[in-house]
Amino acid sequence: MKSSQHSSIFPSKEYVRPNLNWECGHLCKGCPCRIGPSPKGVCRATYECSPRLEVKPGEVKGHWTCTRPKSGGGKCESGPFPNGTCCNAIPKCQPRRSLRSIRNRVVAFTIITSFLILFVGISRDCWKSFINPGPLSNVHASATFADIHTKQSGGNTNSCSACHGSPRQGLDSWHSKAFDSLVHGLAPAELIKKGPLESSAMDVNCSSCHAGKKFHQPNIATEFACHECHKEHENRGFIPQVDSTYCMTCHGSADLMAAAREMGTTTDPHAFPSFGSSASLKVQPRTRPDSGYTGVITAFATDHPEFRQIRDGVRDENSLKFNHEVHLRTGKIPRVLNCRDCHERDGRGEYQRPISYEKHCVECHTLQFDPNTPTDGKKPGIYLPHGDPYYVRAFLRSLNIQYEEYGRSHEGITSRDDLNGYVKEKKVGIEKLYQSGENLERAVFFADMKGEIPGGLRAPFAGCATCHNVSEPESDNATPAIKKVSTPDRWMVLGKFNHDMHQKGLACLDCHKVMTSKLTSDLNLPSIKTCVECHSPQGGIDDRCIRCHTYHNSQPNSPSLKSPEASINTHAAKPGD
Amino acid sequence: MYPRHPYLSGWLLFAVMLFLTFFNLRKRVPFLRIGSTSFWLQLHLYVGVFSGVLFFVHIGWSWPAGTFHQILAWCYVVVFLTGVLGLWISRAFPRMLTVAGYETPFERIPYVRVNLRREAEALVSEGVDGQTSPVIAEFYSKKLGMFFTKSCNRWAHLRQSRAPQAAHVSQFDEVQRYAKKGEREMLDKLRDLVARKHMLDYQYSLQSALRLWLFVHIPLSYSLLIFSVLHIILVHAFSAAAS
Repeated sequence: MKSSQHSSIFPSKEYVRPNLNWECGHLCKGCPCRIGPSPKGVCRATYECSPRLEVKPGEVKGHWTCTRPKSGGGKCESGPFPNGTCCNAIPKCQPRRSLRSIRNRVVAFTIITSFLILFVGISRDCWKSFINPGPLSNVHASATFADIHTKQSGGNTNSCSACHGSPRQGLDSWHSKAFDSLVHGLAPAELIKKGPLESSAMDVNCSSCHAGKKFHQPNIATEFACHECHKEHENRGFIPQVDSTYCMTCHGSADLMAAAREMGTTTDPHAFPSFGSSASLKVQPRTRPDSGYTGVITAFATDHPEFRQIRDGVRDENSLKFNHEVHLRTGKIPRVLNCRDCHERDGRGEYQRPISYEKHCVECHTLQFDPNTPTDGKKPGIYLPHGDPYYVRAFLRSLNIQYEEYGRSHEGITSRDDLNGYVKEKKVGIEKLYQSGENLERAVFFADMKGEIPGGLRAPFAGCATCHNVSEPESDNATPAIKKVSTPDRWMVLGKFNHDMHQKGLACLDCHKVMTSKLTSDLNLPSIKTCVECHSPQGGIDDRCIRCHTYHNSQPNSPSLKSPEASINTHAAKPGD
Repeated sequence: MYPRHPYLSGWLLFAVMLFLTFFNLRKRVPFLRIGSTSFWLQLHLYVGVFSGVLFFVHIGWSWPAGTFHQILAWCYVVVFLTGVLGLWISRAFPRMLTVAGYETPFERIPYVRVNLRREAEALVSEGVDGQTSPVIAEFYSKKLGMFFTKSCNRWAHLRQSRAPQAAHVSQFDEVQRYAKKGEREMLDKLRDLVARKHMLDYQYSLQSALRLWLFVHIPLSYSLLIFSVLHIILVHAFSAAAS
């Protein structure tokens, strides 16, 4: 049964031409007429043959002969009618379109439908939503933005034209605009140009609200387009975060970095942003590297340089004496601390609040110079003031008054005689401990953690020198100098960090190795290797540049409703308007 | 590295689509010696597959969000998928048709079907020993009459299902139990005709599929070109360069 079918009935010489538009309606019955439909699809069937008149010699009228071909069955038995008409009339059919013709019609229908879709889509009412390549971010889709644009453009309510030029001129101009951009900005030579997108006219529109576009380092060779990084029409909500690819366009290019390095040598040093001088941020003074930040970086995990503080061995120059190991290990102090006892997170969960003596140290370092007047129930005890050494000295030199005030306020002594007696009693106690006022002053300023004072004396409490760098007075009557304490707010000012986010999976000690830190000058910052453990493709945590860095060295101005209103009001107030 | 690569890939994709769409033109100029049709068909297939990669590079591996761009993207995807389907059909079906046997040109199928029907009717009318068998006549009119009149079981054949044949075999077996000796011979002949009709239907189904996928592929290719032209105008008119 695997042989090809050769039907004896099928007229092999009269094969059906599939490229014709019409086929006989009798084809489905297997008996199409031989002539077939006309090119316009009209049935042309009449008779099976056209009889031929044959006049033999001697005949006057002749006789009609059947001309049906062999493929049609050959001559019929009955022959034509006497009037020369074939006796086998072919029944009329309704010709059908061939498969090819139907396909052509479907093609035509689809093309017409496509044009209709386009016509309806770009008609007056709905063209904006039809051609919009994606939803705008919330801020650019907001009524406030539309309001600002309307006011700035003098009544143009089409907010597309806030950024794009074409909508201002209507649908008719699209093709000419497209041609212009093809000839100029998007010519073939431009398409294969490497490097970031250069600034264009569209950026002027961005700048009308976001004034000042020079947000990055001043040693970049050219201004870049806003939309190089900030992709609009992507989704609702915020504009998508910038991908590292855009940063790598420059920072991954040795040529561009070399150009930036070269340009940096001729740029005014004051033009570069200085984080050290930031009024809101207290940081240890730092200088910009000679070559700037122009090292070639292709990925955080592979070739991002080590943090500068680690690489350059930066030390904390704070004069405060602090030993993390002592405070965090058991057995060395009465109460073992944990990190959170001193390092409190700020409101945003990013960094630590400043540490203060009054809040974090006073519990243990009480400055109680007189053990005979301790804290007792409701009585607070008498303590040295913390802060300016002049105040401390003044306090010590006014001990009579201080005791008298304490006796009146906290001991409930009211009569003069009793107060004098109370003060005398206290002073006797002090003299027993320190022998003289000079010794008391020296003990207060110079006694260390063990109560030892330079010169061999001992004090019953830990003085200022326990934590501070105290130097001898310059003259006999001068106050000992205490070097000012300055704890930087942050060390890594070129990057941002959120401690709270990291707290979810890590403990403080996982990154900050403070259990062995004995010196204040230890920064105890983690190396970049610690960060890369997680922030890398292997670690699986986001390692984009924007996780830590911001392209703009200062935040661009936010648009406000006031400025356009103000300009309109000013304009309206002009005489003659 | 190339910030304007969407424009670059877009133009390349458009050129590829033009080449693919007007592949048909090659058939119109057979007199030109520019390679055989089969060579051009191979080229059409490989370029078509390449265009798929180019398309996803162009859209940045994320599905577009706008109405027009979604229409455009869906158009492409449907054209591409029907192309892949067509590729599979054009490679797999001819082999199946050859293996199945009884190969018949698509245009001849109506003739052959009518021929089979006439043979079957003649067989039933002829009867046994000059007398029509009422059992077989009833069986033919109830179970086989319509079967021989038109193409049947199109989807079953496309699925390579043997269920329709099995159903007929079962019906024949049932009738054969009550048939006389002469009737059984006639049933065997009829069974052979039914088997040939099944094979003819199989040929019709697969050959129809070989033609019908083009009813989606070709029209949407033209729509794709039309939408692409508007897309090109839009992206250039609304580009930063035009602002």
